[in-house]
Amino acid sequence: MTDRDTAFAEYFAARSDAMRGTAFLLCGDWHRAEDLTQTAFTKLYLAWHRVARHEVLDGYVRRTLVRTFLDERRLGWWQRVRVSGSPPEPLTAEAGHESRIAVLAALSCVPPRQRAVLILRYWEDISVEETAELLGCSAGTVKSQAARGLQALRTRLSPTFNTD
Amino acid sequence: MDEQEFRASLHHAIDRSTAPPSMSTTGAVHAGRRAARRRLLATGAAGIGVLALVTTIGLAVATGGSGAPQQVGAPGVASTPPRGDETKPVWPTGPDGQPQQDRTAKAGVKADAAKALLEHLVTVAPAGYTVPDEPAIGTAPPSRSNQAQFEDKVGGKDAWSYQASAQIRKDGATGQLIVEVHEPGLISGGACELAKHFWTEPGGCTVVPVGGRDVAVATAGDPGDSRIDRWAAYGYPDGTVVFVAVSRHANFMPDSADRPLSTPPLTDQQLAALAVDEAFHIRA
Repeated sequence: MTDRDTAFAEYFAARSDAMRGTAFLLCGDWHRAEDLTQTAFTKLYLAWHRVARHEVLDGYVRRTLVRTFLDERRLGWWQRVRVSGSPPEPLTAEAGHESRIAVLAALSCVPPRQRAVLILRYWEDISVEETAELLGCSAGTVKSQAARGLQALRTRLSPTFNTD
Repeated sequence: MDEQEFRASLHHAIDRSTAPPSMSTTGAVHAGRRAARRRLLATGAAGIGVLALVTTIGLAVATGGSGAPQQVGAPGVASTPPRGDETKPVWPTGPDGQPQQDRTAKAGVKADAAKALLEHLVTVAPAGYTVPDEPAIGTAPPSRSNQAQFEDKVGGKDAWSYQASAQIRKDGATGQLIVEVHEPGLISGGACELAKHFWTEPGGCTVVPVGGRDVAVATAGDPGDSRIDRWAAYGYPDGTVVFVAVSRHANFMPDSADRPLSTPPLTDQQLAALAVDEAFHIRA
């Protein structure tokens, strides 16, 4: 193994699960999430010598992951990976499996860039400014997209949403 | 739903979801290495006249999907625009005492080793085949080529790989023979594991014994990549890895104007024997 291989392998082992989780929330499908994650990490491998400081590795992979997701959505791949074919019905059953499906299904109905904003801001916990830089838009756009995204989720999930 | 409730719901969704097993680290490294090799070929740094052949196949990888072509021989190809927090690679020092302009050695011991590789390769062409020696014409690459390229650091030291390639002709048909040698530390594993590190995914692999040594002979398995038909891989005890490969197409180009070979130019046993040819064993 080269020095790059060794360092890359260590980073992949440490961070691929987390990145795959982010990808899963973006696309709603574990298999597609793995494809997105693999794509992002392969690009990282190619850029390894350029991404000199390890503190920026997460940022690089996250940016690649989200942009790949958005590019594929733009190309129409999303139509084959929707969590459900139609907007979810409000749930009345007990929380748990159903509420998990409901959240994912509701997310799938949020426009992809709004969804990316929601995941970056509230799952990855990155700042408005960083989110704006990653998505190539203004901080104001991030704030408005986040607000609209949350409102869309409220509409989809209300009044039975429950996280228990 | 407010922000905190949404955060909680996301964690809840992930926690309750049955995630598949963790992804393979080895697989990720292999994927990265294959992508790096395709990029290298696509950027022309390989210098063996295969730019045209891989343009279609490798451009998407080489450009990171951006569609922007890379400059031939450009140092330090990035899949995204350079950022302030990233640094350019530093290439090894050349024989003139100056850093190389890219990963390819233009002169010196490394370049000489690659030339020697080609000189021997043309002597081991299969019986009945000719080995033309024609220069590049227009966009057509030369019929013979060689290069030495810096691959990476291994244990803090520079590690190189070497390639030599030559067209072989018979009855008006043209194919290609290539040898690729990697210095110790770049590739490791059992015979068929080594074979996975070549240009494309193997569809099958058999171990062929040659004088008590195990040599992998692999056949191409990716229907979208027909550059190479089969290849042999051998790892020396010192860590040097040798690949010898054949393509039925001139310059590995399935759409080449030259008529391809109708039959494999070498048997598995012949390929395996070439992989353990000591003349291909470059010692770092």
